[in-house]
Amino acid sequence: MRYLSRRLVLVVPVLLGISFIVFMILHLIPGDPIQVIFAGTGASEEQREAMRHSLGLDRPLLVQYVTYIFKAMNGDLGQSIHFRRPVLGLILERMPATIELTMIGLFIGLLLAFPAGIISATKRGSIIDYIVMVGATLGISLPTFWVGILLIMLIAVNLGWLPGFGRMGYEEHFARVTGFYLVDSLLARNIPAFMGVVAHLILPALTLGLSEATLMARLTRSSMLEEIAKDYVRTARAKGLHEQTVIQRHVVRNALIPVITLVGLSLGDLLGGAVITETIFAWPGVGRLVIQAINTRDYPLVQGVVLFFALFRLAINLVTDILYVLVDPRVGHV
Amino acid sequence: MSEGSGKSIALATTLERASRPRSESRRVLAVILRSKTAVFGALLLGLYLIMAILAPVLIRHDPNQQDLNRRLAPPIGLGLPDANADYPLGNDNLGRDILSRLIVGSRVSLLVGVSTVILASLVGSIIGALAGYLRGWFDNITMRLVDIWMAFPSLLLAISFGAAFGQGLFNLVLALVLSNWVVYSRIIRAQVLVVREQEFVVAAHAIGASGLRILVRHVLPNTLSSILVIATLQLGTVVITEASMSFLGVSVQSSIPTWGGMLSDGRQFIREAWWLSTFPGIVISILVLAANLLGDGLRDALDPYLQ
Repeated sequence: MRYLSRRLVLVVPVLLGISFIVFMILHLIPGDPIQVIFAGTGASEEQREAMRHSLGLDRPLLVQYVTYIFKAMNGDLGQSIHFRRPVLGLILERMPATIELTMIGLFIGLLLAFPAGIISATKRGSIIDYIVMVGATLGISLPTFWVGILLIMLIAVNLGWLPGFGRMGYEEHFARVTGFYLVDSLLARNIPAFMGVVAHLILPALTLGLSEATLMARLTRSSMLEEIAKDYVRTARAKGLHEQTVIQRHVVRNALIPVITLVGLSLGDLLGGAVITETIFAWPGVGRLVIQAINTRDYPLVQGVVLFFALFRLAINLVTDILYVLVDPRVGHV
Repeated sequence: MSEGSGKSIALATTLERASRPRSESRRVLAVILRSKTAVFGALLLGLYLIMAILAPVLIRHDPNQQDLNRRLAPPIGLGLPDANADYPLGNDNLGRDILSRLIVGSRVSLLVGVSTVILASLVGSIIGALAGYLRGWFDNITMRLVDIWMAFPSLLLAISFGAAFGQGLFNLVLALVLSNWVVYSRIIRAQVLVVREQEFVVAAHAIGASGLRILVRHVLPNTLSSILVIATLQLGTVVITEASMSFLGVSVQSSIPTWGGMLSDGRQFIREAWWLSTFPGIVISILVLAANLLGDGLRDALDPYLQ
């Protein structure tokens, strides 16, 4: 308990720091941020002054920062310049799309990585092991956005097998209840719409999942190899257990524990990767929102999304830490 | 492990380090040379460097020269109409020579990649080394700062900084350094904490060497191999980040050819001209692969603990 409370107290300075960095994004703009925001729009002097006032830029820096924190704590992340709506609402609206994509991406990634890592470790030095390792090294070197473009080019455009843009076709209609289209289309018992949603998900989720899979396959393999070398495996073999039983019942179970922990931690990276994937596949999520915001110089929106991502990631790390203490009580005493 | 055996291991390391000087770098070189993949990676990186340096000599056309008659003209060797040996990889949507743009584009990628890695490793290592050596409040503040930094997805941080600073080579490098220095601080701090307790440092203290001298002459050289390994592996990540930023338009001025920018231009024409977005992707991937192969080899040779 003491460990947990100390861990929670340490979050406070980190939160302050995160909010400060996010706050500074607007102030790092060289010269006058108002000039940059209105560059090439021909806005009048009154409009500029109104914007300066609404962004709080006419007040001292410290006052601005304190105001920013208090407003943020009350869920007020400011107004989007481009959409003329509260930033938080814009983010929450697009969150389900991003979570749906990230989760399915993670699922696909693990579906590829676990078997690949396990097989290549059990057949160490074989041609399969070689192929997996070469594949993982190559995969890490491919930029996500290029993989996405290639998939669109080959599978969506040339072969026409799957859609390459958006979350669903225009002809499909169902009630938006949760914002997760996989769930919503099922709730509406609209099977064709559900299939459409799945079809739209495959390519972006695969793009996201592939980048995750390369790293996870490597980790699974090395974790497996470490486990196979342990004494209890020799004991299990010595007492005459079938090799397959040894691997399935003993090794895999123990080897996957550290990998799964890392999966939790990598969820934050996956969200970062969604920025690129969503932009390429015109996926209406938070990642695409932040790029739109950057292109329209909508700084309050940029700040809001960056803050949101950082908090999300912080929360994931915290939950992982807490789960670790619950699973392994030794950690709390270190 | 008992206290005594810890001491004798420490003594053995001290003796080993005392006899280190040139044989160590030779040993490392030998290990790297034995790894075929590392040598391959180093050779590829060398080729890219030569391409970037000799770019003005290598190109046959001005990378920005437009020829609307050759708009979306295909590469040679595929039997497609309008292919012209003068433009081996074809032309883009404005009729610019793709090969020349790829060659010139290597300059931004390598310049940004290499200078980011050098600056980030310098800044990060110095901060990390000071934190590990001074400990106390400086260490506390630095490590909280590192925690804060780690909360942001680094790509998003780089894009946001890039968007705030505005276009330009210097701003791009600045944004990338700001989002990449943390890794070094963490690892170097941990290593300094270990090294500073070793006997050769204690010995240096005993003969009256100043703190700064010990840090620079004795502690830092022992962390160099880790810095080198991380830096090489990071080069690949930074190249991808730079390409992503160029792809999103948060990078250098659009008059300078970049691989990410070429991919972004080509994206609108994937239906009719696949070569626009295929070739830049290939050159990025090979460069990143080269850095990763060399980095893996260096890691095996220098730092078995980093694996």
